[in-house]
Amino acid sequence: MKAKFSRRQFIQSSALAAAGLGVSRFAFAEDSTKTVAKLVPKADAMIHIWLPGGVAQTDTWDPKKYTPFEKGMKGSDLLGTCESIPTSADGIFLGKGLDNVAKVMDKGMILRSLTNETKFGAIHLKAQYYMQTGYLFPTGVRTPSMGAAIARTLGRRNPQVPAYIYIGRDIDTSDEEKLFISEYTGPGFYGVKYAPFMIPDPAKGLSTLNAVAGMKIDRLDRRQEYLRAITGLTEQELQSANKVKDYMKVMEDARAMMDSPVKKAFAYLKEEKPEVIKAYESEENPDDLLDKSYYYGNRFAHGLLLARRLIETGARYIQVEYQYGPFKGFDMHENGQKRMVEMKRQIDRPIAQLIKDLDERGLLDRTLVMITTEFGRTIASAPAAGQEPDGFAERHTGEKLIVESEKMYGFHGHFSSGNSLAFFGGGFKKGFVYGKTGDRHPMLPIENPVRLEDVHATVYKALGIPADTSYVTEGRPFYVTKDGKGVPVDALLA
Amino acid sequence: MTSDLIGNNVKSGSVVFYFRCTGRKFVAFAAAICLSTVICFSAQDQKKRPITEIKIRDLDPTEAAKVSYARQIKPLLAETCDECHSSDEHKGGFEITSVATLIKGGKKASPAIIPGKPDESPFVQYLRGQREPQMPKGNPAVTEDELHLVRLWILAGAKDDSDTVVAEQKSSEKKASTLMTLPAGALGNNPELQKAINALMFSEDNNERLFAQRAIRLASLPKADPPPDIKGPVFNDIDKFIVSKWRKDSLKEAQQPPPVCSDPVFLRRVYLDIIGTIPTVDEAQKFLADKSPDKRTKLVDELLGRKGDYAAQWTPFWEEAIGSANVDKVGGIASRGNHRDWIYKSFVDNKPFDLFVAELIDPTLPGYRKPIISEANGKRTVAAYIRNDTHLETIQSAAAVGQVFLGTGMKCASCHNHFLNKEWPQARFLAFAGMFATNDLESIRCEKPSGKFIPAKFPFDLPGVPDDTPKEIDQRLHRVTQLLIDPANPRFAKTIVNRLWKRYLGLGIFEPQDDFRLDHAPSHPELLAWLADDFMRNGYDLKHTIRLILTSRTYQLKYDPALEDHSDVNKTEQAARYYRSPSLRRLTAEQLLDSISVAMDQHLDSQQRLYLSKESTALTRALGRPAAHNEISTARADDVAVVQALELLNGEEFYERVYSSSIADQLANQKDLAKAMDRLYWVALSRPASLEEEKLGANFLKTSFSNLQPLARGEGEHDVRQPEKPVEEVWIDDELPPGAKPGGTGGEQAWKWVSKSEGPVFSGERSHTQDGKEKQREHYAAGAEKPLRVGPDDILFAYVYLDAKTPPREIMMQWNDGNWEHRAFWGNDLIKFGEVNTPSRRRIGGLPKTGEWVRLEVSARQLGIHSPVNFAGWSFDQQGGKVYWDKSGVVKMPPNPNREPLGDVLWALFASPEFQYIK
Repeated sequence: MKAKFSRRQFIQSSALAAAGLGVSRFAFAEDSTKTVAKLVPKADAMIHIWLPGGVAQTDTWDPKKYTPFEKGMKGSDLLGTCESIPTSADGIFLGKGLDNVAKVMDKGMILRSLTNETKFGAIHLKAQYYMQTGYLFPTGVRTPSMGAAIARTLGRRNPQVPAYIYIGRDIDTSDEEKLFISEYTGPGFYGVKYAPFMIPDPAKGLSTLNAVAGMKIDRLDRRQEYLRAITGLTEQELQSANKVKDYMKVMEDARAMMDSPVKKAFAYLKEEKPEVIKAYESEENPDDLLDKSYYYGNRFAHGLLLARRLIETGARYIQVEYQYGPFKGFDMHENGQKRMVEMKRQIDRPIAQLIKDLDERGLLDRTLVMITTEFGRTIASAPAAGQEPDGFAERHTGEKLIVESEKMYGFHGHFSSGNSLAFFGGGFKKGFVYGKTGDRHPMLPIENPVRLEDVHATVYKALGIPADTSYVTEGRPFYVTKDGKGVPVDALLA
Repeated sequence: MTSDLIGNNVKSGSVVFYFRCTGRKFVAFAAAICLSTVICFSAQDQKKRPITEIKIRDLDPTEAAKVSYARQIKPLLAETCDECHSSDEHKGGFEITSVATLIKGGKKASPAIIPGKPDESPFVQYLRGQREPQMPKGNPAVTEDELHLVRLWILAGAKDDSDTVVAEQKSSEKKASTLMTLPAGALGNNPELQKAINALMFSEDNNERLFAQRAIRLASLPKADPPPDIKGPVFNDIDKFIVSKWRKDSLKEAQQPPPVCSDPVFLRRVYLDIIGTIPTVDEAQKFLADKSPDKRTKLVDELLGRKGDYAAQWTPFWEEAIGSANVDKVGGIASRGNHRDWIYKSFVDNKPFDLFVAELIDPTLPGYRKPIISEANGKRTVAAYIRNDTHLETIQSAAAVGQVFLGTGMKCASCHNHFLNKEWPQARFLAFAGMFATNDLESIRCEKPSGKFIPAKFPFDLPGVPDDTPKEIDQRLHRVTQLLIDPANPRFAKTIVNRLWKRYLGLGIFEPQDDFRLDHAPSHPELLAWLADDFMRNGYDLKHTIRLILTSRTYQLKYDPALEDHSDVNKTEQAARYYRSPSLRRLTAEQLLDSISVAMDQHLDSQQRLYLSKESTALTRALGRPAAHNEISTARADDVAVVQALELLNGEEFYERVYSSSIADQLANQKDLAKAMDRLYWVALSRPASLEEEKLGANFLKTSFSNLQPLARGEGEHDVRQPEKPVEEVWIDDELPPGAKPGGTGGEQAWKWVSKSEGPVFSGERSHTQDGKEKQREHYAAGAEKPLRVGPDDILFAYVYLDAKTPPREIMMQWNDGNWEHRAFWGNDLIKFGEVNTPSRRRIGGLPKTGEWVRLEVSARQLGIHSPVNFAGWSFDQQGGKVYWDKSGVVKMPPNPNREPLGDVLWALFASPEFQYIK
């Protein structure tokens, strides 16, 4: 077993010597980003509005001709289940039901031609994994999510506010799908330091910032003091170990966080005027819903309000999710039109109000709001969910499908080939559409198709992160965009 | 010369990019590749390396005749020369593939070996640096022993004693089997060897054949070098190696050996290391009071004898290393299968490690972990450890096997030659991966198919292995398993003993433990070889090696951060490791929470161990327990983070685990606060409290008690209080809980109310029953608006009446807090919901007496409730018979007022570094 001056050492020493635009695949020291050209960030913070399930782009961001229901109509004639409405941006139309968002469309842009060669078929989790991490599962590595990558690279804005905050997702679970999801929204190999601070219910805030019910603060402090004292009595060897010092420091940091002004940011129910809170809420009556079990009350709406407040306090990256439920909400395999009406009502006012509020407070320019979903929707190839073979829906024209009932009226097929994402603020263009899709099924991108890694690269660029930023795991670099190969689409940026 | 060339270029600032090569050419890439990067070699590499003089010894022809090419020379050359002179790389036109090629030589010298004349052979001259550059180039020279061996071999004629066909002879026809003859008595009278041979000849049990092969191979391998003869601070052979290095490197510890740790420290270490929890107070006190000189060894043996607990400690590690999942499929994605029970049982049985690994891969073994195949929507998913439906799956499976069982990082080589580890060109990895595939794999470099298919081949040359790989997939898997576990495999045994070493000492003999490289020296190569050899010769028995490590003096050294070794995986040049102190290790999530359970209950409930829990919570995730095993992992990070500290500080789950009433009950009559403190230290830290600690704690308690609510009349000032009485909360009696809907076998009608005239009634006006025809049937109430809140100290109860003439064979109750995974049953285990012996199917006892109303009670802890839950549904199940149910609800145990002060002390003890770390 002989030691040698290997390529690894060569890289180690050369990384520090490299200057300017390095061949970054070799520059994977911890401070890699410092050795490459500094990007000037256009945004300091990000709110990622995550709507999993597969939002039908034809009824929202990329509306097509409205073709009302007629019993027996052909699938290929079903192009849009709602009308298009004009927006505050010239020439840009949205699906009816997003009337409020339409009013603020001049502050943002839509990407209509997101496409990828991977046909995820029936597998939501893989598509979600891809959207969240930029990698295709399985990668062979515990892949970090975008939030963790941003948290690690940019760190906290306000030292008291966690860099990665996640609103709207349950924490404790034994549901296998939720467990899978918590892995891809987590820090992966970065470790618990970059794990998101989870806020399942905005009204409850970050529960661990408050002492347990029944514990008074002075008792908490006495207990903390006692902990310090007994640690001080423990053997010197233990006290002087670096790991122990780090451990005790982190306990103190946690205690300090409880007193920080950040806590006020969470108390929106107390601090905000009722009309402000109401402006975020959707006007949904749970009894009218098709699927009552998928109603989370005001979790999503208040989550956006909380996100705004956290941005004001100095958060870096906040993800607000309308929590995924298989076959629920946007994951529609029947009654597509009705579902979309309901879901648009759930998201329209909250999103629009968030944009408005950020803009009025002068925060929108430096805060990127990105709205995503894991794939789009197309005309299904079979009358009911679960019958279409893997990936077939991607190329379906709808010729063979007969829409017999209202239940079948909608876009029930998974469509990885064409997806829409929306961006507001944060250095992205305003009142702008990039990319075009076909008007008939399959509605593939016909102009300016964009790959996901390039979208990620663009987002990272806006935040000042090079697309080939990497961190070492198992002795090799792992990049924040797929293999470091994401290329920012400058046409999206202002 | 070349160094000047670089120097000049650097000075002039011109842009040249040197690409590191082995061999003597440099490739200068044009500025086209990277305009403004100046990356150059450290001049060090280009300077001439000084020749390493190697002492030569006299050659003895008798000794020379004994040297074996196949067993000694070939492996030595493979290790030393293979990087540049394999058949793939053959730098300078020279390859070491066979004796013929060795003799033939290359461009610089041909022949390279003159049989009979070692010192005239250019091969030796290169090794000695008499010809330059000295070989192996760019690496430290061979050792004196190694050079001697080579010279001996050449003196004896450079003979080839392999029985394999030389790789160059690529004949496609199968050679006729040659007659084998062995001289009479060649195998001696060894009965064990005869037994192994008989097993190979006649046994139909493939396990037996596996062991037989192992035995025969071991008989043909030379034993590892014994430990150096060291007298001094040694308890067993391991210590001899460790101390020898201290002496060799003239450390002061060689003269003043570091002390051994105290008994309380040892006690806690071995309990956590072997069974994964701290001891109970009784166990701790018994050990500390024991005066026998060999008590430490006895404790290790005793703990290793606790089969279930030992297995429970290992199971989560292997679940993560294998990527075992709780389900076969999630969201349509096939998992690697659920291997938990098999892992657990294998460790309870102390299955030999080679058999354990083999059962994961080899379909010909009786215990093979069969893939679970399912079809849905025309899509076939296979949940299996080895996945080979696609190219990607195959290479990931191969890389996983390589990482976990060969301790070798090959993942990078799946798409291109490994940038950092020259041992692994892509072809070598793909050849290995091909052994897991139905067909040889195509070389796809950086996502571009090359059209070139790589013949499947095991990456290490083992004696006797045929050139060609079986065509049929089961036979391929059998073959790759054979080679993986073969005692002649240079890495299999070393990898696992290294993992054991790392587990208990904190740092492996080679680091990283998943990435053995020829260019990173292990800290103690002889120890590694000896430990691996000893492990193999003792039946691949993990407990044997664990026992050896845990009874060594090295393991028992006192922790000293000044002496602690460190390892930085980012540096090739590793700081030397001496093991003068163990490394500080953090408790895993399982160890931490299981230990707290033991502390609170003074009893290790094997059904309550965290690894059995299917639930992932904020606390367990913050403590490092992964939510899912999508990717394999052999180690958890022991980071500390604010999100984790907040969970310990304010998390509800941690609070409930620590503040349960049981400790308060245990100390109910303890008036002396100092004594109470002592007890608390025993409970949490497995040792007595010092006087200072007692005082500190007693003061804390005093103030805490006086801060509590005003005393009831008649109680003393710092007395332990009388808890309030428990309160019974009825949830179902004559009505369903508000908002709840009935359901069950057959729908809503399943729930049948029974009036006094129709049947037995215990309380109020009616009872309820399930009147259906099915043997196994149930009725339930679900979706209650106001759920039943149940805390860990509470007790669920219900009244039941079993018909005397037609009793059921089993009754069960289920509760829903989002799912129905809380079940308790009485009688036979016939209703197969959940997993038996877990909170999802907990047997409480036999069937209650028939013909009368009986009160059933289930404690929340039995249902795995450690922090309060909300039950919105309650189900009543049975297997056959006639059963009536009545009043049911929960007995709320009020918080013991002493909980808070005592809990605060315990919280501090559990949160203290002494508890959180193993020192």
